[in-house]
Amino acid sequence: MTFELVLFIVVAAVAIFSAAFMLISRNAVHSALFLVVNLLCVAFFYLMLSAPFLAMVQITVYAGAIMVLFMFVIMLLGSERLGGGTTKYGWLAGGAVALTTIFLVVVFVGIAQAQIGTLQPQAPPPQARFIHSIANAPAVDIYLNEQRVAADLSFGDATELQTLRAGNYNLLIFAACPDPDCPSPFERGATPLVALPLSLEPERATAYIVAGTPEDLRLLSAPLDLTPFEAENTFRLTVVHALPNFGAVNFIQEDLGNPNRNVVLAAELNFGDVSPMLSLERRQYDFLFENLGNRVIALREYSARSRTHELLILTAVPVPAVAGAPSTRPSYLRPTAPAARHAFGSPQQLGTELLTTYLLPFQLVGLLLLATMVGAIILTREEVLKRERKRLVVSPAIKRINRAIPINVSAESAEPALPSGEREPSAD
Amino acid sequence: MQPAVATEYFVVLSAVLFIMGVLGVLVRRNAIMIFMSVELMLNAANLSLVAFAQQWSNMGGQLIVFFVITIAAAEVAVGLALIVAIFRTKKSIDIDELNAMQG
Repeated sequence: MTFELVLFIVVAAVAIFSAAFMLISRNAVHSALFLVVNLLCVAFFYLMLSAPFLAMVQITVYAGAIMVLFMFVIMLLGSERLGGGTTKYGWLAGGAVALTTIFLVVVFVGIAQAQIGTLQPQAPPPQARFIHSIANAPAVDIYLNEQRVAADLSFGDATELQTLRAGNYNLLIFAACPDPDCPSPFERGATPLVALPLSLEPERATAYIVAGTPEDLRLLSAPLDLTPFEAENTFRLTVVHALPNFGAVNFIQEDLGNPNRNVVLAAELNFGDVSPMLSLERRQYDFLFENLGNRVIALREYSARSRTHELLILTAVPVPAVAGAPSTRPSYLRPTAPAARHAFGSPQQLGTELLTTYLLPFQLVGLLLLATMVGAIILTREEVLKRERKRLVVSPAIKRINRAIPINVSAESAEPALPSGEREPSAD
Repeated sequence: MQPAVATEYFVVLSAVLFIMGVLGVLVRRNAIMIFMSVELMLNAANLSLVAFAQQWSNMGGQLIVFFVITIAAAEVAVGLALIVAIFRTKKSIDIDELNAMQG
């Protein structure tokens, strides 16, 4: 028996007993206070069920605001003592207990039969993004089977993370057609520059990088880790060597003041290699790509947003042609980094969902609250109540019907037939 | 990942609390007590929604609970305003006496 289970049983017992005392208490104030205890127990369960934001809402809105309203009305009406007089419907209590017992048995059987614990959530679908990293190559279109996932991707472009279906695909890279009205490459019968099988697995996010030379396109894949971050103010970094015919490089974190304290973060990356994922604290860094002791590129004052997975791609950029000099020089690409998912049930995730998927219900609920406010004010306004009272006493329904319909029904003969409850019971 | 406390336990607890709310609505005659029992039922339903949200790793359950809490607040505001209005005209909130709609 784990500690959590013991805690659950204790708090569940408190919740059930407070609910029971709420039901049998003869004083409305005691009932309200027992209900507060019950609501706090439910808030505790929300915390156990990884819903911390809802637990806080439960305490502030339910145990706070709503219960204050209850107490206020109980005190305002002076109805703390609940009348214990006889009721017209004494048989109802016995019937209610019998019916609810039957219902409870049915629910228990249902829960026992359903095997809830064996239900497993569906794995989230795979995500992919595509990046073009060849300086001299023309723009490309990328297709998975017949579905276009990247259009007119030229050097330095990166698509957003796309959610795709898991499965095995045939990845095809075509030269992009400059004409926007161009038919799809399948219709015009173009030959793909690259065709290779690709398997997308659920839960994985991957960056696919088109690398190599224009004559020999290659596809590098760098896994992206978008699981929630444990610590604030950190980011993830993956370095990809996408510079063909260059040799191995080291990726170094430089200490500008003291070269002896340089740290090699990824050693001996050859073309096509993807470094292991680095988890870095969020601050300014000086990075260096080094090839056989020669500095290749230095990145000064590198900083990233926290909770993102950064990708650093070593590649080449074209330079103005000078006779005898190479037409490219080493450089790096740094596409916009996708943010990691928020932890399940966190306020950030709830807020994101509220303002994206559930925006319309959210607005409607806000409108409903406004209408409620207006309605509560109108319902309790003194003039409205007086008018209603007058209408009930002075002008019973039958008189108004007589006025509206010109058939002469005698009001005197009809009036005694009205049930006595229609009239004002009190003396005023 | 197996949760520390099985979802069944939360659902059973939620069923028990819901039944107690139903009993309160059926047995008690004070309108305020009936309202409090309705709150108890809403809470029981919320508890099972959050438990299933965790079981399925699906945020939908938690968001519905958020909306239910908001709507419960609205419902209590209007309901208590009605009770106040009824009390002012009839000087009682015993629902046995509220039979103006009876034929």
